[in-house]
Amino acid sequence: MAPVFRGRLLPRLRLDTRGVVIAVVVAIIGYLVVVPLAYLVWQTFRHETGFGLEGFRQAYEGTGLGSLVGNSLLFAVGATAVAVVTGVVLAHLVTRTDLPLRGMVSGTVVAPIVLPGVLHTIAWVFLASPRTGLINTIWNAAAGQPVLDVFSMTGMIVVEGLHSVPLAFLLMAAAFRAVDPGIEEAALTEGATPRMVLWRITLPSVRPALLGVVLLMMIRSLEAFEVPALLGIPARRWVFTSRIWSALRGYPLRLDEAGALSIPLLGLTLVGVILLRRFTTARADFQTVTGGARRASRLALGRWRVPAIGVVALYLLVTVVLPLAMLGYVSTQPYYSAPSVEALLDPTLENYRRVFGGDDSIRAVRNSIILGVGSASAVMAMSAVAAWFVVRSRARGRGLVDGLGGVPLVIPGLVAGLALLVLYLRVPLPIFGTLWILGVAYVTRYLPYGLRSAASAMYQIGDDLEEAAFVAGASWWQTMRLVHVPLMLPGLGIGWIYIFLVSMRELSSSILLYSPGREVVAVLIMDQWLGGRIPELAALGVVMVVALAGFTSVMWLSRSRFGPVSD
Amino acid sequence: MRRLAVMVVAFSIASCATGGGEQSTGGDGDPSPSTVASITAELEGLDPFARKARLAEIAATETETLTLYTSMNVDDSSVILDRFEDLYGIEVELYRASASAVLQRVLQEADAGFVGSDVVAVGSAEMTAIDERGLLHPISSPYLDEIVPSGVFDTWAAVYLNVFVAAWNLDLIADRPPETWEDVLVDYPGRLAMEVSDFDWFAALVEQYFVAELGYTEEEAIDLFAAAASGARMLEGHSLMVELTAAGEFDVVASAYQHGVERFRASGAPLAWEPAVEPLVVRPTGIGVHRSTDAPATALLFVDFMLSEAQSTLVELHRTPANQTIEGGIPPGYQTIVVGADIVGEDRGRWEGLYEQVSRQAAEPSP
Repeated sequence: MAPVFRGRLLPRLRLDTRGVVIAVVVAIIGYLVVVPLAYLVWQTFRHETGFGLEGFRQAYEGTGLGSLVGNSLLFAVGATAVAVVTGVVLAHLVTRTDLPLRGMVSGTVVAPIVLPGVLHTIAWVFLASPRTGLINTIWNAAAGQPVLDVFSMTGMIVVEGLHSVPLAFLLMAAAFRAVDPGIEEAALTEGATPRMVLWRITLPSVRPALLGVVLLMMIRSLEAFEVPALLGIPARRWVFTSRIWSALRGYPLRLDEAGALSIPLLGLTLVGVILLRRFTTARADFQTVTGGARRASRLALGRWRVPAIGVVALYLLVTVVLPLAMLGYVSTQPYYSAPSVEALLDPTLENYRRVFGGDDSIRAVRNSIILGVGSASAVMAMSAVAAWFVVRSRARGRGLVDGLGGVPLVIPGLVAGLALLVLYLRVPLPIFGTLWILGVAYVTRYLPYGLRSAASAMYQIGDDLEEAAFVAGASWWQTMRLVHVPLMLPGLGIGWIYIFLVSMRELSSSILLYSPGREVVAVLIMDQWLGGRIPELAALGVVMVVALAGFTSVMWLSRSRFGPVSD
Repeated sequence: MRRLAVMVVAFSIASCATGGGEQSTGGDGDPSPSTVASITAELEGLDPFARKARLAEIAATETETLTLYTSMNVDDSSVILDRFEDLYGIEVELYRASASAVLQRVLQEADAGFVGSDVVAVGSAEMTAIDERGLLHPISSPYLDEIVPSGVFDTWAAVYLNVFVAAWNLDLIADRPPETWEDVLVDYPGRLAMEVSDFDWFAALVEQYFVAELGYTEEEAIDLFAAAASGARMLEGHSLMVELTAAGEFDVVASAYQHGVERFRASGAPLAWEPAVEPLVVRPTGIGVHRSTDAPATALLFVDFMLSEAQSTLVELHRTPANQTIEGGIPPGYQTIVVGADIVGEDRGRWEGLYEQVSRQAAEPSP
C-alpha cells in the first residue's frame, strides 16, 4: 500500500504518529482560523437593538462601497505591480545570472524587511513629504515642484510596493533556485538564446510560485494598515482598512460597522485564495527537484551587465541608502527638521541615550524577539506537517485544510486583533495581558505564509522520492524527517526567517492586544510618531536596522548549509 | 470531507461555548464600592495630612500594583509617576495610548468583566464616556474645592487644562502670522494642518465664538471649517502636527496643544503661538478611579496627589494646572472658551458626525 490516503478523508484514526500529528495540527489550524472568523461574522450582524444590517448602512453611507473598492483595488494592484516586477527582476538577476556581488546585493535587498511598516512609512515621509522631504527638497531646487507627494495614492502605492519587494524577492529567489538548471542548459546547448530560455523555460517553470506571489501581494496590500493609516488618511484616499481603523476608534465602538467593512475584503481575498488553489495544484511538470543530479549554472549578462548593475544600484540607493540616511540624520537632531548643513554640524546623541537608557525601548525589543522566535517556530513546525497533508496526501480534506490555512489572510490584522481581544477576554485561558495573546495572534496571522512557503517547497519535490523511501521500508515519520524536511529546508528556512522578521514589525493586531509592559517595537514606534518623539523613533529605527540587518546577513549566508544547492 | 468539516465546526462551537461564559483574568469584574467607600468613610473628617498618612498606610498593605491608563505623553507621565514614587515609595504601571484608544480599552475590558486599570486620566470627552458606562467611582478628595469649578464632576475632576492654540512656523510666516480664527481657516490653503478627531475644539469654536460672538449661523460656521479642511492636511496626533509644522511641512497648525508647542520651543524649534489667536479653547483632562479597582487606597492617594502635589510638576511640564491655588500655565488675560459638558455628553454624536463630514471634505483627492 502506498503511503497516501487514497479516497479517504482522514486515515482511519489509528494512534500512530502520522494520525496523531496530523489530527493535532489540523485541529489547531481549524481552531485558530475558524473561531475569530465566526466571531467577526456574528458581530457584524449584531447591533444594540438586535440583529440586523445597521452595520452595513453605517459603513457605506459616507464613503460608498464603490469608492472603497475602487481605492482598495487601485492601491493593491499598484503596490503588487511594483513589488512583483521589482522582486522578480532582482531575484532572477541574483540567482540565475552572473551579477557581481550577488551575496551582498541579496542581503541588502532583503534588509528593508526588518523595518516595521510604520518605520518604513515614516522614513518615506522624511524622503517624500511635499515640502520638507529630502527627495522633494532636492528635486524642487531643480524642477520647481516636488517629484512625489507621499500623501497621495501614488505615494501610497510606491511606499507599499517597495515595502513588499523583500518578500517577493525571497519567494521568487527560492523558486528560481529550485528550478533544475539542467533543462535550461539543454536548451542553451540546442541553440536557444538566453532571452528564449528566460521566457520559455525559467519563468514558466516558476509560474506557480509567481502566481502565488502575485496573489499574496494583492492580499497583503488589501489588508495593509500602516500606509493607509499614515499616508492614506491625510491623502483622503480611504481604503477598507483605514475605514475599519476609523470605526474602531469612534465612540461608541462600531463593531458591526467594522465587520461590515471586513466582509467585502473577505470576499476579495477569498477569490484570491481560490485562484491560488486552482493554479497551484501539484502537477508533475512543475516538479523539478527530482532524483537527478543538480549543478548550479548562471546566465552570463554580457552587454546587459552595466545596465543591470545600474538598476540594482539605483534600487538600493532609493530604498535602502536614502531612508537609512534620513533615519540616521533625524536621530541626531533635537527635533525633526529638514536636512540642512547647520543641522548636520550640530548633532546630538541624546536620542540614543534615551533608546538605550529607556525601559520602554529595551522591553519592546525583548518582547518582539520572544514573539518572533516563538511564532516562527510554531508556524513552520505546523506548516511542514500541514504541507505534507495538503500536497502529498490524496485525502479529500486536504483542500479544506489548505483553504483554512489561507483564511487568516482574509481577515485584516486590525479585525483579527479585535476578535482575539474580546474572544480571549472570555475564554478561560489566562493569556490576556501576557505575551501569549500576542503569540496566538501572530501564529494565526502568519500561518498562511508558513503554509505557502512549505507547500511551495513541497510542490517542487517529486513523488518518486517518497515512493523510493517507502520501498526502502521507511515509515511516514522517517520519510518526513529524512527526505521531505531536508529537501524543504530552504523553503522552511526562508519561511521561518520571514515570519521572524515580519513579526518583529507587526502592528495592526498588536496595537489592540498589547498590555502595559507587553509593547512590541512597532507599537512603540507608532506611539512615538503620534506623540512627537520623532528623533527618538529614528534612533530606535537605526538601532533596529543595524541589529536585524546583521541577523539577516548571518542567516542568509548560512542558509546554504541547509539546502541541496549552494550558489 | 463532510466528516472533517463536522469535526472542525464541532470543535470550534465547543470553543465558542466555553468562551461564551464570562471569565476574567484580572479582577472579578464586580464593583468593590464597599472597599473604596469604606476607606472614604473612614477618612471622613480627617484633615488632609492625616488623610494622606492614613491612605499611605493602607496603600502599603495593598499588594496589587496601581495601573494608570492615560493619554498624557510618556515623557510627562514618567516625570509625574517618578515624583509619586519619590513621595510615597509606590510604583505605578503606566498604559499610555491616545485618548480614544484608552477609552476603547476600558470599555472592552468592562464588556468582558476584566479590570485592567485602577485610575484613568484622559480628556473630558473620554472621561464622560467612561462615566456614562458607570465605570467610575464617585470622586472624593479634599482638594476638589481648589479645582476650577467647570472641571469638577461627580466621578472625575480635572487635573490640568488642555489649551488649544493656533501655532505657526516662525521661519515661514514671521511677518504675517494669523490674528483671528478666520485668518487661520482661510489664509493658508495647502499649508494648514488640522487634527482628524478634534470635534470638541470645532464645536466650541462654532458655538461659542463664530455663532455667539461673530453672528455667523451655525451652517455658515461649519462651511467655513469645511472649506478650510478641504485645503488642509488632516492628521492624527497633536504632537505630530506640531512637530511637522516646526520642520516646515506646514505654515500653521489649527489646533495644537499649547504645552506641546512650548515643549518643542524649549528644544529650539522655530514655533510661536503668541500673539495668540483668541479665544483659546480649553478642555479639561481629568482623573477618576475605576469602580472595581483592586488597589482602592493607592488609587485614592494617587488622585489626591494628582490634584495637589503633582500640580506644580505639571506647571514645569508647561501644562495649565486645574488647581486654582497653583500659578502657572497660560498667562492670565487671554480670552478663553471652555468645551462644554454638553458637547462631550449628549451632543457628542451630533458634533462628531458634523466634524467627520467636515474633515472628509476634499476639493480633489490627491492623485
